[in-house]
Amino acid sequence: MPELAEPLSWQLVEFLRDRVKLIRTSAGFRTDIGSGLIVVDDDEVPEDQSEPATVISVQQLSRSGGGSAQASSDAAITIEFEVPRGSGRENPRLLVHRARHDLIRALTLNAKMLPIGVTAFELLTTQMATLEDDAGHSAVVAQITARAGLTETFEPVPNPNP
Amino acid sequence: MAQPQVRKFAGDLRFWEHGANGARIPVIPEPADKFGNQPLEQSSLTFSYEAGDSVEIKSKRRDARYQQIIHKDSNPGVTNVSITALEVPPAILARMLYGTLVSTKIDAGTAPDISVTVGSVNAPVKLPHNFLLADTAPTFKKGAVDLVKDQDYTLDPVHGLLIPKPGGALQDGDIVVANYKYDAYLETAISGGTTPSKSFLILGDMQDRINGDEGLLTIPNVDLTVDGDVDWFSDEPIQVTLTGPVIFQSGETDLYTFKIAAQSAD
Repeated sequence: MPELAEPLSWQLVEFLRDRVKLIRTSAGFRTDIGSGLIVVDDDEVPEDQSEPATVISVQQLSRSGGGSAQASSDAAITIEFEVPRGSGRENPRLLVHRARHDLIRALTLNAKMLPIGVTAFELLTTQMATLEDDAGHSAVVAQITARAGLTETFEPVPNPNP
Repeated sequence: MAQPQVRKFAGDLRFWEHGANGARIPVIPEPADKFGNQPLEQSSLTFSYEAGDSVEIKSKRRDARYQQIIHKDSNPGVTNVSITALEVPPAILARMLYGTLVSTKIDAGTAPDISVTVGSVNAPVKLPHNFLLADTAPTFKKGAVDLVKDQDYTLDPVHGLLIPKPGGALQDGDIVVANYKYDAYLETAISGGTTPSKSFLILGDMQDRINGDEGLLTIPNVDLTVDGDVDWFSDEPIQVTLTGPVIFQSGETDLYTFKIAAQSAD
């Protein structure tokens, strides 16, 4: 058996991570998000994380159509860039504005560059907020929500013969 | 079992304007592009078909088939293409104004003794150049008399306009001799209203987003005009809908073609 490719929704996450990795000041961007920490799965977060980080997650996939051997879904994606206060950075809010600009620039792309099966990708809203948790950690966050259209086709799985 | 052939296309549409003597002029010339012509930002491509005349022959036999169609033949119809453009390069701007476009690159220079006629002292007078330079002050003479700035006239150097002042020396019908220096600029001049439509060659580098097939759409000649009203001051960036019939281009074998290919796995 050939090794199965990962599901399309995960391919999308990896694709977005690779796009975010392109954000380097050496490549004409305003920030160096791409060389920083980009979290797509849980085990990648160190316990004592205090550097700016980008988190990419697919939160919801809702079916938008399909048939007996295909399914189209809308994926809701959030891309979050977080600058912890006290990480020694000046102007965390300015940094968040720059990060938003860079993320939007890196994620505005021709549909043909997306993984095969992803039929649409669009950025919806950006929220800038200050987060504070009970432990007193404070961070400035830019949260970008995006939606992607996925169409997966399946080879039918037959019932076992009676 | 075969997977269902679900399709969704994405593509880059490149436009070439038909020029004189078979020339094809890229709408957005871009040396870095593989075709030397950057794709036009667009959000939709629609094909519509107006069916040709059809001939129906009905049975006259007095039995169950009486008056039923026993033969039908349709003549080919007219294909129309409609494209929503999200950007307005000069060639598309000319479509928006139903006019012809002339782009001129003007090198910096000096205009010695250029005569312009003041039609009416109440309206600005267009000088032959834009972007007048201020480092050597432009001078204007009426006959042997030097005109005085801010007394006889004011100047709009960006648009190259001489604006006569009320109560100044300028009168209707005066001839003014101008001396000035101007900067280099690229001028796109559109004479509006003269050309309702224009022929384009469209090459669509299409991809099936679901199974990855690569397709090439070739429309050798489509006569495009702008459909509907365009609000110049709309809140959103201007979108124009280009629409028109596909024309049979002499020398081509097909009206338009779409070729789709899947690379074999082995």
